[in-house]
Amino acid sequence: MIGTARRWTATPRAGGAGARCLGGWRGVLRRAAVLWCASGVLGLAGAQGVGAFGGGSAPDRMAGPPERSVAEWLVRLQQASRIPSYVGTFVVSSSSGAMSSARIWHVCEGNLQLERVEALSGAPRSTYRRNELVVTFMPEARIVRTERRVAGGMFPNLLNPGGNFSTADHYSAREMGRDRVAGFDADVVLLSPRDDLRFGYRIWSEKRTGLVVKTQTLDAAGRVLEQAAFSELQLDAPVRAAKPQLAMPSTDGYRVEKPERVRTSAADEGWTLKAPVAGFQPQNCYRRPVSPSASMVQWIFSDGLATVSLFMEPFDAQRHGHEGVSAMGATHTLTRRLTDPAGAWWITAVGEVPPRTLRAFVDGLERKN
Amino acid sequence: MKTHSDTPCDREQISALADGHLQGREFSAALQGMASDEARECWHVYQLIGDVLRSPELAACGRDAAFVDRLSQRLRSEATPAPLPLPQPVRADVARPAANDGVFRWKMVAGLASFAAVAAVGWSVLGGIGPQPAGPQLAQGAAPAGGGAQVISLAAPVPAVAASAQHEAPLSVMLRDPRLDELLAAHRQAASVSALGSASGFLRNATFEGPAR
Repeated sequence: MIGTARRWTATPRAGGAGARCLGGWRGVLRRAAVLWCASGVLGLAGAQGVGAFGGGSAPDRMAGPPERSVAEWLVRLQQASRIPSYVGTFVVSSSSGAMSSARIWHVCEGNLQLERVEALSGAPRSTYRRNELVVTFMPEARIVRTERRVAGGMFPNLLNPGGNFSTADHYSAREMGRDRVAGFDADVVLLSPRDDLRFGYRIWSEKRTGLVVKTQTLDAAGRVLEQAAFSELQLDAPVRAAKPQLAMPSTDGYRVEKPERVRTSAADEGWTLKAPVAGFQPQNCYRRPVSPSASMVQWIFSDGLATVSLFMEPFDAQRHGHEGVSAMGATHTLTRRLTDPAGAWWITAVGEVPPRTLRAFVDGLERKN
Repeated sequence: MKTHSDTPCDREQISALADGHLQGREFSAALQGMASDEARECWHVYQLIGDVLRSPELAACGRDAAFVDRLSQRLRSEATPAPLPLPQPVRADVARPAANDGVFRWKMVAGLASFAAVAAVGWSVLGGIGPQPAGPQLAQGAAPAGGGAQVISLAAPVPAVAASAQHEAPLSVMLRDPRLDELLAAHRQAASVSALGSASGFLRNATFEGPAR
């Protein structure tokens, strides 16, 4: 190719004819390629159409695994947390360039799930999980934080696809073929939102167990806002090899911190959402002290995949000042001052959702007096 | 510390009094000691020394030779703490501890000056980072099309936001806010149970905690 180009420059007159001739050849080739591609795309579309209209179980589909619905996918991904054990290195990166990694140990025996996350970047942290109990050791500050995570009211619905399960109404699933992550074959599925109030997710699910080995959060234009993946994974690590790593160390010499939050309800706290945001259902509501005289209310919403937290506290000109929206990876934050006859409030909305969703929440929030 | 006023002229006490270091009983004892003429003269000399040290232009006046002579004489008559050769009377007052050595406000002035210098440098550094389009720590984004609210990127530019944005709203820059980090941590805890499995819930949040701090 380089040789011919050089020859053309050497003999410009002949080169003109040669180029025209080659242009003709190229045109023919290009037309052939376009036709070939088009037939391929049509064939693919046809296959997908059969898959979609045939309900995924049509025997006339020639190749590929059966298409799963959103609910079926989510059930499969959930069940993967019950696989006996795995050990790996997990990497999270955001579009802003921030990247962190951690060593993960996971063991599941019957109903007991044990997990350890040892941060490999940033300040040293070890997080141990025993079912719902999460204990984080911060050796530099000599602090241990214990918290109890609360599963929303989502999973009974999730595991019963016939029930009132709204996640499937707001996302659609499309299988994107297969890929290899951390040495394992994975099915790739795209969960795309049906409206502009949430982000899309591309999920790599390990073929045999369903374990999510990689996720990407995508904006409306398909750009990756954030991704998380195992860079290295031992899926069949023997339980007795992984288990010693999961024994929680002693908290001697550490200051033990427990979040001083009490469960409450938005109605009791005097808050209401006059216009619900499509697909997001209220989960829990907590109150925690921020100073001896003031407390903050956290009201949590979820559509099954994305979570939004609304933080409401009395406005304090000393501490609150900057209204606006900020972004960090897929996590967006909106702050706004809200005034009502009783006084001024400072609202902070946080969630892995587009800014417009946070705006819809804060617009709809009002005091019930 | 000597608190009695029997000594005809307790210069140490007078010096401390002139520097405002005495309080309570020591203060009233020193005041009583000021009754003698010698003590009052000593007081005036100390005030004068202080004035000269505080305002160098006063020290530049060489015409009052009589004053300089008297001053140097008196300074010579003071007990010298160290056996330093003091050939020049002007150097003599440099060699001994300055009358205002212990004055806190001077240290404060020095502290404020160095703080101002650091602040000025810091301000210009921040100002230099701010307007650059792709700063690694600070970044900007334009406001989304719909609302007038500002979009601020905490870590770096977020392409999604910038792409969906019209360039009509002012750009803004924001630094890390520990209060916001606390809220983000509380939110992460709430979001740690995800239907997508622990890779996008618990593992993601436990791993990603670092950059938010």
